[in-house]
Amino acid sequence: MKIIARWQSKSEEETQKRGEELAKKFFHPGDLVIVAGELGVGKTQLVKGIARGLGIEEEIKSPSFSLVNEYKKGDFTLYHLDFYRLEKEEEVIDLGWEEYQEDEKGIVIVEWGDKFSSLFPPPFFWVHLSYGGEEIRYIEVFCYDSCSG
Amino acid sequence: MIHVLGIDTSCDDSCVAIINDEHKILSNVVSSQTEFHRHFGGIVPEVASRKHLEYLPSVLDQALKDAHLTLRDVDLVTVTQGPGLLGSLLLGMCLAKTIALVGDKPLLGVNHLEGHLFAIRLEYPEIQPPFVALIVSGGHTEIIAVEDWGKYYLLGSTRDDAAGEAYDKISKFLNLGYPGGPIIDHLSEGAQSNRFHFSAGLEDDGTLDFSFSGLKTAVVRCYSRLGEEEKKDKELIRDLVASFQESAVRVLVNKTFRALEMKGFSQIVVGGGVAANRHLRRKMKEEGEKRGVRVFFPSLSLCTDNGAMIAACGLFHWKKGERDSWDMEPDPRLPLVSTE
Repeated sequence: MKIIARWQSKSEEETQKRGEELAKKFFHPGDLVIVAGELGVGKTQLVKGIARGLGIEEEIKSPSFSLVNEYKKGDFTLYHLDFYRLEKEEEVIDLGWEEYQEDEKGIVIVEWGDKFSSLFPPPFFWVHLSYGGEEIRYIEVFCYDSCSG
Repeated sequence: MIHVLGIDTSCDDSCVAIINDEHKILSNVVSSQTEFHRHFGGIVPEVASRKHLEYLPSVLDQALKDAHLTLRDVDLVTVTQGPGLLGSLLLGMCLAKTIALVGDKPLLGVNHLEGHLFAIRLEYPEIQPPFVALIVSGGHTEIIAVEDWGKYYLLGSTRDDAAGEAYDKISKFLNLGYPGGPIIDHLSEGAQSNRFHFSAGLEDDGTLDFSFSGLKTAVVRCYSRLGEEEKKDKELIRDLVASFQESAVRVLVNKTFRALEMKGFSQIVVGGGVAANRHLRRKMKEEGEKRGVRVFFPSLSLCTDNGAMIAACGLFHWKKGERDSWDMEPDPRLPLVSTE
């Protein structure tokens, strides 16, 4: 595991910009990205930026309720998953997230993925968002095992 | 008399209903209904598509039993094609195709959102478009111009979290329980909704879009800044959630009426699970009375996901001669399009 980026963000826009930067610098088809952090810290904002960086033009919405949203651009697919509502490993397996991962042309992003981290064999990226004082957010990006980039 | 079977498995609930061609509901069974659960052994539904596989046969049986019908009496099979969770949609679709194929019955796929628009027809058959619809639930926050049945324009939607999702997340964060909507609605009764001031996001931006993510964050941050004693103060927590609800409902009401003005319509229909919210109902009615606008709400069992609305919508399209073939596939992101 190594840390590949560490930022401070003061606004939703800045968090989105960092997501865009991450996507352009580090992420490639076949990658798995886990996004962890407390409620309201800006996980979906970050994914909005990542999607923009990957060339997705559609509006990214929270998948908490739908559990998974797919966004396509040509033969590339961004799988945006959210484990917020899931309580058991069985439910994650039932969701079929492994099938999304098998798409070598796609990128899988999992919000609240830290709830079931034992289900993810490396390599993957781990983005951790946390609250600083007032409007400050910390964004830390880790790479577990032979990540591309 | 034509009997229409409606199946909805777009999200967590397995729903099966039967209506006739006069829009009379003969049965309407939902897997999370308490009566059904008592019957089924009191199992709490889980977030898993496999649960549909377990529930669907019993929900179907119950729907037939309640309607005093057998599968032979069904003349048309309708099913939610999307939007929704793929694994869940697949199971409903599979059941619908099986019934239609075995009994040689016509099959029709229905858009879940369009289904919500048709819910009102089951209780207020006299309603004629045009009207502005607000569909608001855990998964949806949409303002739709219904120019005619089958002719729709999406005027606005959420850019991040759905309204019901904000309710659920705040309720869970404050350890108040699930589902958040009814809990926060109940706690807010009589509380001071002006104690805290939250911006609901995109309130004065001129669009008909919503953003509930920022409101959620503001409430979470507000709570986090409270002292330990304050966090234990039940009255203060009631005021906090009431203030949140005030903001959420304010933006929903304001934007729906703004849409009405823009379109020059004079009727509003509210649907989706959050349409059961008492504060939303009250504020919508108040504003409607002030402006001489009729606001319609379906009853609770038709606000939340159900098979009857799918059957009503399917019946409309069937009467226009539409049919779907056996190779119809579920579409998790099925858009709402006009068929006129």
